[in-house]
Amino acid sequence: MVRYDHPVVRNGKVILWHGAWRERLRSKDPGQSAKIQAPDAKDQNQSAAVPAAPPKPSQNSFALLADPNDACASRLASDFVAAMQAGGADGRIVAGGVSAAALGAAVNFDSADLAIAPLDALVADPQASAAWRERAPYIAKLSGEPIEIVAARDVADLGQLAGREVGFGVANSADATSAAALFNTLGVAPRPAYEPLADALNDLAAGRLAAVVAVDGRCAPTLAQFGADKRFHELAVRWTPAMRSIYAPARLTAKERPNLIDAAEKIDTVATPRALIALDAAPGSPRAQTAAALTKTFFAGFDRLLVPDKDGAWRDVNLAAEAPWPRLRAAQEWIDAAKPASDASLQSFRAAARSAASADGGPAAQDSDRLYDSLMQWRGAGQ
Amino acid sequence: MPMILLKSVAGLFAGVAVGALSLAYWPQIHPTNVAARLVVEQPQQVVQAAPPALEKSAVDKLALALRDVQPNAAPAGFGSTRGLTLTPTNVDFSPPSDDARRFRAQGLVALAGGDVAAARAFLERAADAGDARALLVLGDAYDPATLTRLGAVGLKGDPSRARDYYHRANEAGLAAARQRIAAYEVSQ
Repeated sequence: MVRYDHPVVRNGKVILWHGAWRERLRSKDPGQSAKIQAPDAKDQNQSAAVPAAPPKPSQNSFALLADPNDACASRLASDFVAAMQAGGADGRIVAGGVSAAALGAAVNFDSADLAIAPLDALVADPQASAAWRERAPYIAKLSGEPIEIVAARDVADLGQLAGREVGFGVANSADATSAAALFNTLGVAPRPAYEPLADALNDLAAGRLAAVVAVDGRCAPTLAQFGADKRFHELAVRWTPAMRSIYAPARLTAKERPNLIDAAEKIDTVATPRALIALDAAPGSPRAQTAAALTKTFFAGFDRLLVPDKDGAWRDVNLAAEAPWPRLRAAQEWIDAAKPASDASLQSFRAAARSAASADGGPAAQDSDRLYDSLMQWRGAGQ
Repeated sequence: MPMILLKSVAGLFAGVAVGALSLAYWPQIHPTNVAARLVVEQPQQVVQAAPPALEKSAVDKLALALRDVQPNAAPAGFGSTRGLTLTPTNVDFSPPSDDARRFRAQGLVALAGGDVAAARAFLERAADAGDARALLVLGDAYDPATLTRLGAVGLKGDPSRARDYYHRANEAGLAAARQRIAAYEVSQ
């Protein structure tokens, strides 16, 4: 791992200077530029040859990483930047991958301040994210998108995809990340084919792929237009307790996919949530302070995202929603200050829920009535 | 004329006597017991399903008539939890399956953690599987006042959807749903 304020030197040449464009951090401390040195004396001459950093953004500026292959995430990113600009921040979108490997690289190479990432990229493979987990805390859990798996009608269930070639989207994209995590959870091992959704659908139509996975189907016109010849359908993904830390159930109907779902049919699937995360913002770091300022602007101006011209997914976001991932301390403090004080019966309901959730296999059927009674007690206490 | 008068007086006396005897031997109704039997929380079919030939409107009239004769019936309005629960015949009264209850439990866990979007998804799945209690919790998951008390930040809720789920929970026999509906009507 390389500190972001150190240059990376190979064969005597500085090939990368982490955070070089982030002059605002140095401008807060005028002496800091002079402190930056190459790792050893041999390279000191080379460090002097480092080109001047490009024009620097202001203190309240940011770069937001989003997957360009995820149409919904791109729309959310665009909304976010517009709302932040209305709140006085200066933001831009940086296109990039959102797999665990890509996010790890973004943290280490300082390519953005924030990212919109699928939650399964963070939590599905704890080993892959262990190195940067504390340095990429989440600010808010965003709404989920249903995972769609489109296949020819002779493929009846997911098990039939084992060993067959399935379109996973572009490598390191949200589609590829969620597809890999989902099939891993299901214990099914298809052969992934990495290509854009439009190409994958063409290959599916031509019989070169057995199925195609799409996470941003809601925002992808390509998928909406696919399958007019009725040769394809949506495969059901049954929610199981093993999915509880990431996925929620979702349902698709002919209203969303008239070409792929019959009128009276309902297709069960699962939804993967996204998260807004801060990059390289370990607790106590200068970047955490920057992220705190951006978080304050975001939370305080959140209502700007609830207007009709913004994506409807914002209206399902509870900024206080918890995710199985570390949260930026400033975000948690802002939420705690905004929340009403909880009474004893609400704390009792939450404790009962935590207890049920921590059991092996998650909450069971027999927990349902106990939790329900606890909720009723809390609701009754407030009336 | 005197004869006619005499017959009338005799008839009057006979009518009074029959009425008195009827009152004396009429079985007494114990209002409290009746009301207690009719207060249900779990979705139970208090009034037996109407015969196929009986129209739903007739069942409704019967329910209203029975409610009116309840001596301890609370004042009119949805706030009463003592009223008779009449459930439409197209609702499945069977106890929820384990799958439905597991979805409800998962939904309640998500709701407690503030993940309202996921809670709604789990609860909808439970409700689709016939869990009436999930309908009531779904109402809470859309109820702006409940969400505020729960500590939701930024999420506005949807009053019309909340009211719709409360009504469905009420139709399914949950007495607590009436309290929610009453609270809504008071707040309007």
